[in-house]
Amino acid sequence: MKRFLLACLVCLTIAAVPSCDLKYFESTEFGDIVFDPSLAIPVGTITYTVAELFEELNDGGAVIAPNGEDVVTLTYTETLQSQSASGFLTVLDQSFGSSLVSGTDLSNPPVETTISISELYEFDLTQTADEDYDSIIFNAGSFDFNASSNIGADVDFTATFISLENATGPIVITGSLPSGGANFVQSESLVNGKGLFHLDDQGNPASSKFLVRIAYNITVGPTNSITADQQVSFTIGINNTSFQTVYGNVGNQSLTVGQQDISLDFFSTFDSGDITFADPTVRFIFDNSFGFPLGIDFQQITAVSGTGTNIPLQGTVVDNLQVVNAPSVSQQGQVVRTEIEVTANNSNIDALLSSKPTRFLVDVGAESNPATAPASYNFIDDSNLLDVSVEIEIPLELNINGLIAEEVVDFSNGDDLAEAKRLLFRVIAENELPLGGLVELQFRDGSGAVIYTVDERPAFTAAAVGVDGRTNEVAMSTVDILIPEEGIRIIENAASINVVATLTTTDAQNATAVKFFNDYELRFKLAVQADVEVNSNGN
Amino acid sequence: MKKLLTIALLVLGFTSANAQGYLSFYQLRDIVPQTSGIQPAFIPDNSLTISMPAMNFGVMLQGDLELQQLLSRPAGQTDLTVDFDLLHEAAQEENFLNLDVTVNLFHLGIKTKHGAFSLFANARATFDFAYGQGLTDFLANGNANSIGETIDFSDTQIRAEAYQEIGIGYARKFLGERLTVGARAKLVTGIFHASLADGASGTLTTAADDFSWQIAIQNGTANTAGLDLLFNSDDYADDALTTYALNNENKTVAFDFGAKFKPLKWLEVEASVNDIGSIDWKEQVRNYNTADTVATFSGLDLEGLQDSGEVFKDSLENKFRSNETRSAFSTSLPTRVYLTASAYLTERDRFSLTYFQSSALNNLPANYALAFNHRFDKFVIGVLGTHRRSNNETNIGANLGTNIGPLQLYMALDNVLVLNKPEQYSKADFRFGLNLMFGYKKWRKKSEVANLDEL
Repeated sequence: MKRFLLACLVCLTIAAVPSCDLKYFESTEFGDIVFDPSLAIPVGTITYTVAELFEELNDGGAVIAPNGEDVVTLTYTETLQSQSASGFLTVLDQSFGSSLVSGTDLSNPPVETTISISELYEFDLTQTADEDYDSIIFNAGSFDFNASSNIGADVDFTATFISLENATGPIVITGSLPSGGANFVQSESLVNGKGLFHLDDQGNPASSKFLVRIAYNITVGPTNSITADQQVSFTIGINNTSFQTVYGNVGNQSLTVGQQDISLDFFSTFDSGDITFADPTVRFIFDNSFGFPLGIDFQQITAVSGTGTNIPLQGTVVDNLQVVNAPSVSQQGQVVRTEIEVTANNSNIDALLSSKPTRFLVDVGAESNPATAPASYNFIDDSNLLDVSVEIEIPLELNINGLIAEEVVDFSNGDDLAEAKRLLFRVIAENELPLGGLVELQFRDGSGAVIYTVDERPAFTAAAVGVDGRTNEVAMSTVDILIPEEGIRIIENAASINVVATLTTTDAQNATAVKFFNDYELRFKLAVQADVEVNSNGN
Repeated sequence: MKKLLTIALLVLGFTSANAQGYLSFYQLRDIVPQTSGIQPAFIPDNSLTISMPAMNFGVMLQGDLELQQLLSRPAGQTDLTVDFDLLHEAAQEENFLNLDVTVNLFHLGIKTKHGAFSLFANARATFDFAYGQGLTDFLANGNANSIGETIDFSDTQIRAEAYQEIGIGYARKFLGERLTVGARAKLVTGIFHASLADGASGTLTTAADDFSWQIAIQNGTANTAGLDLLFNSDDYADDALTTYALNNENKTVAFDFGAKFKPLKWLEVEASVNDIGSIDWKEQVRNYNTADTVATFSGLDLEGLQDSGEVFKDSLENKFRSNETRSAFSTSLPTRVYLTASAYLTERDRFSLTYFQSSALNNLPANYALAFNHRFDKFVIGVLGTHRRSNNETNIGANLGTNIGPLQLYMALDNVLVLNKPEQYSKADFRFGLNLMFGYKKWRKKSEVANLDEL
């Protein structure tokens, strides 16, 4: 028993040595687990072809595609259209009239006597300008004939309108004018009617001549008396006509062509700095279905720079009226295309584009039968038009020197940064383009105010250009962008990023123009070293 | 002399020892019949032993870091958390975390003239995890500290399993009781298992220029059994888990062997090798395989990227070919080896040195224990110090076995100090049990039989 007590005493002693202390675990709960590593992450790669890169600077206004030399080319296309044929040429209302005397004195003849009178009349058509009509095919209008007589006997007349035909031939109107009776009035529709004005009263070729033959018989009875100065009077009206086709000569008159305001959004990205294009072209493509040549005047073409300055197009292409060809009579109904190129050789188009224009105002003047065009027989259909396509073609063969481009991109990833404590972005550029860039990032809040700036630093280096005009190596560059925690907290509230790039082409200082070939690529590898803090409840 | 040894032992314990699983329990030897589970040559002192059902259990948790380093409390806060920075600070080149739960469901012991028989049933669960500084560095610092370098996760090992065993044991004395040899044969039924395949390795190399990742995986297979039944129980019948746990195809026969020899009157040496065998996991098997791969991940194609998080994850996953199979696999039981040398200062006072090695994971360090026990008639008490390696804190252990009538109560702790501010310690080891013990007198010399009248 003593040993048992001893054993108990020893056990108690051992157990008492460490008095229990569990305070560490008292009144406590297991909280969130915090994971706060610094992760080096290869985010990814984005590759831009030249076309894609410039597409970023283009709001869709330009087509970006390689030209025949495989140099990437920006092409803006707009179309203009002339006024309609009926707007260009109007056939005026025509009115002719005359009187034809009996030429005979006869009083109460014993027997009824008939006297016949006939006369061919030639009238000149009235025109708006110096046009000459050989013939007109009408699709609307009316022909009005009015005859009266003061002859003291009954008159029967026949009017043959040689210059007006319907489906059966020349229009012929017959009628009677009783002595002391009312006037004779008759109207005919000119729909599908044809006017032939190409001969004079002698049968010789002429233009704009209207021929009508008036013939009448006077029946003088025993109770009638007539005198030589008594007459039959008539008037002819051609009213409210429209034409289907006019042949002849429309003369020299202006043709109104619509104007266009072409937005060059590509340039709106640029701020200060120089950009010079080596071989820009503005190509005008005229599709003419009018049956007469046109003289084109480029004097109303103007570039509007970003500062609002208007710079007019100048040069020989402006000084000289340009001729647009027309279909011949045998080509009636067809379209003849004429292309006129405005280049640096015949204009100051390079200077216009170097002004970084935001708009191009195109107002083309046109006139029919210019003096510089060979004379040709004219026709005009009511469906004729002059369609004009304007192609501003800008091959990316250029010199850029310190050109500042700005692009605002939306930023909606602020919430994703909540767990970030420090961010080190590494941007590795592999550049085949002869274009280098310094980049500044301006983070903006919802009102557009800059709230945080990543200072300008080289983002990609221009590749060297070989003797063949192509870059001969990939220019590698690496830039680190460190954003500390206080910066991240600011950026969380950003709504957009204004990317400000200062661009310079290879050997720009020597005014060298470099070509951007279609197969060039600019590849960015983006990596990030992120100090993050994530806890187990997801916050 | 005894006092001197005791003091020396305590000093040793306070200066260089750390506690280790079940080593204190081992010192209860033939007093407690359940020690035959770690040394089959132990023969109890009584004729008949019947354990109190499910009242004998042990828990051992051990790591290479203090509990307050695993579950830390940031300054000024009340909540506990896991601080990976602290974990990394505490980490060594190689680290281990081990958990063992053992429940003796039943034990019947019968002592014979020359030995003893036993019939027993146990349920055991273990979790063993090994990790290197590469893993803790990655958890604490990510890979940004290793740009241009390779983080090697290949020293990460993980193994968790649960099984039940039922068996018989026999021990017999030879050479006039100087030599005792014991063996146990047991039918082991695996219930749950999860482990990385042998040789599983992985590295992450972060490129210095673009931070791209080169990820190398070899033998990337995780073998599991029974977990689908556990985690997707809704897919199975209500009694499926119970039926599976009691009887399934994941069976094997395993053995424990032990011997003790007393070459000198004061010297005794012991050796045991336990859990010899392997389980063929055939039922409820799931293998999660990743083909041997060396993949470089350079990020995403950012052109038109939407839902970047998902795309990032998919892109990374697509670098690897993974599948799920149901192929049987085999795992060796975590064999445990105990070697002990004991010096008897008197018949009742024993001074022993124990070596313990487990094969649950590769390179698990051995453990050493220096113990002193004093034995009374029906009691034994002891203190010990243990040592695994130099990184752990100082502890002492204690054990007690006592009989009150036929009821035996025992308890053993490798680390008694864990009760006082347990957050400062890296392990806890507790073994407790109740047995019904009959027939002591038969095996005692008449002179040792107590005269109750004298007490």
